[in-house]
Amino acid sequence: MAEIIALVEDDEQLRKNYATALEREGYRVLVFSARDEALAAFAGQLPDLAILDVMLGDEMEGGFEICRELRSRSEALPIIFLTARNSDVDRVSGLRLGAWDYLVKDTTTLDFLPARVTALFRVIRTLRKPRTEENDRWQRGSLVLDHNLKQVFWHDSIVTLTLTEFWILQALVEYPGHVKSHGQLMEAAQVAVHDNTITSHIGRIRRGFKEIDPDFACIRTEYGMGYRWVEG
Amino acid sequence: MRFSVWIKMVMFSIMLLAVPLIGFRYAATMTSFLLSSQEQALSLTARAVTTSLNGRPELFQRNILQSLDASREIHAYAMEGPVQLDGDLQDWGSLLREVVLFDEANVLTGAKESSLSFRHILGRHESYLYFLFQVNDEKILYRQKDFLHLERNDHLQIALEDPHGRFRRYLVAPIESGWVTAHLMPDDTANFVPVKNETRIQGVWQEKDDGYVVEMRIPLDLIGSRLAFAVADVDDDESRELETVVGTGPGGKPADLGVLMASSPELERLLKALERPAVKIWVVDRIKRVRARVGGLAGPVRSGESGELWRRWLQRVLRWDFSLFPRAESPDSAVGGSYLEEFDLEIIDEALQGRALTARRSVAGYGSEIVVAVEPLFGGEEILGAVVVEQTTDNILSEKQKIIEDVIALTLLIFVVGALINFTFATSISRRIIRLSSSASNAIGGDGRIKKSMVPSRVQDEIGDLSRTLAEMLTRLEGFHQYREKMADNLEHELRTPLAGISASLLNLQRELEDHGWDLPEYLEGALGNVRRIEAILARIRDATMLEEALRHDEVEDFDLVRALAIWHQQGYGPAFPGRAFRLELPEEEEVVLRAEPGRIHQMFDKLVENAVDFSLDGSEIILGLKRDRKQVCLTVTNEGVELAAGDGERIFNSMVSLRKGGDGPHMGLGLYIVRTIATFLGGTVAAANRQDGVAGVVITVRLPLVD
Repeated sequence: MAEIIALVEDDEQLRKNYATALEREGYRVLVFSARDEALAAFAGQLPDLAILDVMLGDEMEGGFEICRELRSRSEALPIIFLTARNSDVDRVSGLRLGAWDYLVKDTTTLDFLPARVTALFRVIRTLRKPRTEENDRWQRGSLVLDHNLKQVFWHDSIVTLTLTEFWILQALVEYPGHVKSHGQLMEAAQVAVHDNTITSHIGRIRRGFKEIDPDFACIRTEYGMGYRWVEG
Repeated sequence: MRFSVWIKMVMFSIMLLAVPLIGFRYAATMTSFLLSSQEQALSLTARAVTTSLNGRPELFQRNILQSLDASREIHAYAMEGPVQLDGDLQDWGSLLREVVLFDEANVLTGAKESSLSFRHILGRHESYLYFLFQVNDEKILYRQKDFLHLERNDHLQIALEDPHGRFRRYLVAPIESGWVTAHLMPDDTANFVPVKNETRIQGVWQEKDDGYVVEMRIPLDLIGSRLAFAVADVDDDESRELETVVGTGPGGKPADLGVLMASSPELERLLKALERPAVKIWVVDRIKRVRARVGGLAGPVRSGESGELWRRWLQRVLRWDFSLFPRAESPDSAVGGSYLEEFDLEIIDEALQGRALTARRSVAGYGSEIVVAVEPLFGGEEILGAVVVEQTTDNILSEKQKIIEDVIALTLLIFVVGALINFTFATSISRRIIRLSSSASNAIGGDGRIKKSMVPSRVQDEIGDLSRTLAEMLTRLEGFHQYREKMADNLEHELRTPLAGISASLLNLQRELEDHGWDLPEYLEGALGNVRRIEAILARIRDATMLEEALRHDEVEDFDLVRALAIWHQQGYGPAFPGRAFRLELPEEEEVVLRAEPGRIHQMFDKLVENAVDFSLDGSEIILGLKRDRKQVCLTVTNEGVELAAGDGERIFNSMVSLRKGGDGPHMGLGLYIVRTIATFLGGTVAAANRQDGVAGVVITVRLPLVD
């Protein structure tokens, strides 16, 4: 049975195009253009995954409202923000509300979105099988990764990261001390993005850790060629 | 009401300048006013005196005996008090200066070469005329007790005309040193047997080392107005013959008597009524002899220091009284004798011509001037004499001094207060300016950004205006900054959705076409490519404008630039730009440690290399240099190709400036702008110049400070 993806997007063009692209991959896509409409539908049945725009018509934070509502009903529901708002404030707000990822709309969206969603469902399915609490949590030193909820803990405090960042971090800590190039990290994050994106993702990961631990210095830059995780 | 700082200052200065000027002007006006009123007052006094005398010519008549022979004048001076008849000269006081010497020149009979001489003074006090004779005589011969004739020994002769005009002759011939009385002699001058003892003429005869002193007094009612006296000397014990007689007159005949120049008591009494303190009134006759004199110039002298505490203090500080107005003890002392001084004579001449006038004269050694008023004295049609009234200007000068003291004190006070106000004012202004300047300089950071806005002042003057203008300027500038920064962000945000829409539609269209097995039209690929280009441009603009913000969030670390450059060169540039040869020029030393985010330095270096590639010839060499220059690291990228025109060296680092001609890919002119932004943020500099080694091309140099 096909997974149900809820797409809340106020721009008609984008809504149709994204829905078409996702349906082409074999998913059932429920499209909504406004908050009320979406929430009314979710009242009956929750989707398997929700893709939300932040700005919905005149509602500047309509997407955040829907996210809050969905998260209150299900802790494990994957929620992805897909928005034109490319600011750190919005990104952090979205993650605080329990979203898994925060993606910015661009010309490559249609290329990576279906692939990403597919990869995401694959991961979820894999994780769901051996359902033991212990296995879901991966620990190394002060760092804990919760694969189930895609959450990261540092010194027992949660680090707010997007799914992309989670995957980048996962790739880095997998083999501590090994340098991961930009290309490798992009591959791990399952994104096809341009140059500076990895740099800014690494920057956000560091900032996330520094909010908890200002002395955090485990991610080292290798002369601008790549990054590695240093256990300190 | 609004006053500018300049007006405040100028008004204040003018006020300070005016105070002493006004004061001195006032003092000068006051002085001249007082002097003229003093002259008027003296003139009126003189006129009052003449008026009271004009009606009474007999006062003059009685005493003025027309002798024009000066040698026959005998002056009797008015005395301060009675003289003790004891042979002691001290109580004659200042009159001793008026002593007249009689010697060989005044010998009446006997040997001309006689050693006999005497000094004498006549003084008048109340109803007595006092005599002093100081006689130099080698040998004193007294009268023998039983001897009837009085002339055969040393003796004193006095001849006078009594009030009734009768001629009288008296002899004083003592029998020993001590108390003496006179003897009235017969009218016959050859007869020396006394008629009777006249005890009203009495005194003392005192022997001294070189002679003797006689002090005597005669009641004034015995004397009319003519008088003569002589000292007779007898030296031979045996013969007792008269040897020498020295004196004013021979005493033989009434015509030989001298004129007694005693002031008229009645005249003086009249003048007394008109006397004022510190005013001296003289009456002179036609031949300029003083006939009466009352009062003195020395008024109540102001004590050296007087008045309030501050005035005394001021006087002490200025050493005022004695330094500014040196004065003799009394101006009277300088006006000697019965005759007036030259100056007085001149104006008395005027008065004797019938003109009244006032004048001022100075006295040697006396600080202030003396004001003199003269008035002619008429007896019917005839001018009898003149009245002279004198007064010093002491009072006026002391008034002037007081005014000047007040002015100086007030000026000092105003200066002190003014200085305080000025000081406070200047301090507050300078403090406000300093505060303004520091808040203005703090408002903008080293990178030209507005760190915090200024609080505008509420004071309504130029500095307040300046503060408000600056604050407003900063606000506008900040607004502009924000607008500029937001613009790229907003533009990107607004364009992102339509671009994503176009791109998604195109991609879907492409997929649909593919699914239906139709050939992909080339223009669809082109449209997609162009959409991506627009997006890339937007992203670049956004990255460049947000670069400073991003730099602030960068994670800095210490890293070796030599090794980093080697790695970047090895892994990146060769494969990326196959048309160029890259050569690395690294320093001898092992490492150059820079503190920065390595990614940024990499980004900066990439931009430099891209720029060098764009402007170099195909197949040419690009040299990447790294040098340590004391506390700086010097990065150079040298290419071969088009040279810079003059002025481009600075311009090319500005944003949106591109000198490229044609070429592929979007060129926003942001590469070197990013280089400069990063270098400046790290406290470094960037410069572009043409090559100096003979090869046409450009070298761009970035200098960054190193950590210690």
